[in-house]
Amino acid sequence: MAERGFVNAIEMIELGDGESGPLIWTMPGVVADNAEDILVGRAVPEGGVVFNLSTTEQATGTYHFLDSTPVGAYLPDATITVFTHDMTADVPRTRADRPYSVQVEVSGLYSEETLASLSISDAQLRNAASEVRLQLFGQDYPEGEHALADGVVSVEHYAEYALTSNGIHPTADTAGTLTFYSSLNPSSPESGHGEEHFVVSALSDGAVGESPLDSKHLEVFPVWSSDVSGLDNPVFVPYQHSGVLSDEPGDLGSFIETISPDLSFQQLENETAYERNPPPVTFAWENLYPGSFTGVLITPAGVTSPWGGRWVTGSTRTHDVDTVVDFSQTVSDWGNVFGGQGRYILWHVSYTEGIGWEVGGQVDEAGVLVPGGLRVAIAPESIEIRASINSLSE
Amino acid sequence: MKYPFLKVSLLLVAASLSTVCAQEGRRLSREELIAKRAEAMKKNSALAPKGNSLESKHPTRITRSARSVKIGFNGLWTMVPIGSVLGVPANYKDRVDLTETEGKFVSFPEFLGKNRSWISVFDVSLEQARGDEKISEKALTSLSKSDRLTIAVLQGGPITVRPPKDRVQTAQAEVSK
Repeated sequence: MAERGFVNAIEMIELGDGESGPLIWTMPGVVADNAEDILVGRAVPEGGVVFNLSTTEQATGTYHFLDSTPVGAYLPDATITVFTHDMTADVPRTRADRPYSVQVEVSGLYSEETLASLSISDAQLRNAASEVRLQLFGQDYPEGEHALADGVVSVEHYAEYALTSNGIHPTADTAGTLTFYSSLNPSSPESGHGEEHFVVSALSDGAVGESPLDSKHLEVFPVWSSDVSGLDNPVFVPYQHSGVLSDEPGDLGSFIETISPDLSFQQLENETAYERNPPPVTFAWENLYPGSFTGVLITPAGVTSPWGGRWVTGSTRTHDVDTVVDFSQTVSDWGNVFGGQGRYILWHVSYTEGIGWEVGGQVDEAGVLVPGGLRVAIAPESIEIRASINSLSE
Repeated sequence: MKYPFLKVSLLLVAASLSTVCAQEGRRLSREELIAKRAEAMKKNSALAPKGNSLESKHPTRITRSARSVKIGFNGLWTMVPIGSVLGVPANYKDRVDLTETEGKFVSFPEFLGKNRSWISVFDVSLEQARGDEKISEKALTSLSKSDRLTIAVLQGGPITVRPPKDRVQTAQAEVSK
């Protein structure tokens, strides 16, 4: 059934034999937009035939291949199933750092014994009857896009595998195979955003050429990253500060008029302690996986993970959309979230179905990723905020 | 996207709790991810084919336009298979074999319906299209005199018409002499 604004077509193609070109018939069966498809039955020619289903966008003339079914002298059958951490979507999808597996059910292949008993000596036919090939294609979306140009996979395959027996692959003999990580963006694989395609084809049997038997694709989303702003030194005035304030650039002296010494917080003899409300802080998440849940957690300083912490009021949200999401949230009114003077850590967190809870990353002074995520201590030590957040932590 | 009730419930419960007790997910570092990828590819190399690799082209790169002739007029255009255009009167040549198209793409039956004044169809059998049977001389003479663009059709669908096989064989025999 064609979408409005598209015209579907089924072509029957008898391949050329070297003496004459292909015979192409745009079949008259109506591929209607309001009825079931109607095919006109015809005898299959001796040399085999390929049926192509395609659609063309009326406004732009853009062509989209939809499916192909070959009928030849000999053809096996194959069905591809893709398994990912997220099996809820109509089109299989995964995140760039997650493994996925491909299962191919093959039927119609002949064993060597069967081929011998049938006296099939033609080499091409023997090959076509004894194995199918699985090809892998991976292509990133154009920058800022969420689909391949014209829906066409224009790259060449990057891997090819031979499946030489009937049944479900991987078999007991090949257990552990057909599990992959995305091939996208090889130098920064965590930011891959595009599609992985899988095509199982029959080998040429002498009548019909290499013929796709089944194809599936997988949408790959990048790993989310996080960022925080509003805490850059010296703009950030900590919830509490101990020590002498100076007028030096980068110190807190410029705020001296707005904060007052607080003797109750004095921890050392001869120390001057100050306090002030924390400033508005903006938390940002980029490239969130579809359906992710996000929030900001607060814990006492000194803990190594946010789990067990409390939500910053109003910071939680579920992103119930089908594509990657960039989201930011500014917390201005901290209310009683800190529960009084003390030292705290604020955490970006995300929950993704099939993956679990995760925290943002943190880069130290040496540019090395520190496991445990972003820590924003509302304390003097945290004046040197590590504000550069990377997507990968532990 | 619709989420199962259970999933939505889980998130709502998580959001409403004053504290969070959860199993932490584990993200791979870039280096770990690159290593994992290489490891998987190495494991899959056990399935490497012994014979030649297949063509590298993905099926989505098979384009219809490469095997079609584009015909257009008056804001509409369509495609018919190469070899299906049997006759093109001189005054319609600029409407056939277009390299650039303008307007709306429509199916051949729709295009034909709106352009019958200058397009006619010629019914052939599948045997004639394959070149297994000749098209009668009378019909060919009629075609050559037609003042309309003529498209070969099989049951209403445009189709390639190969030259009769005996003509091809004769031509090949003459070449080999």
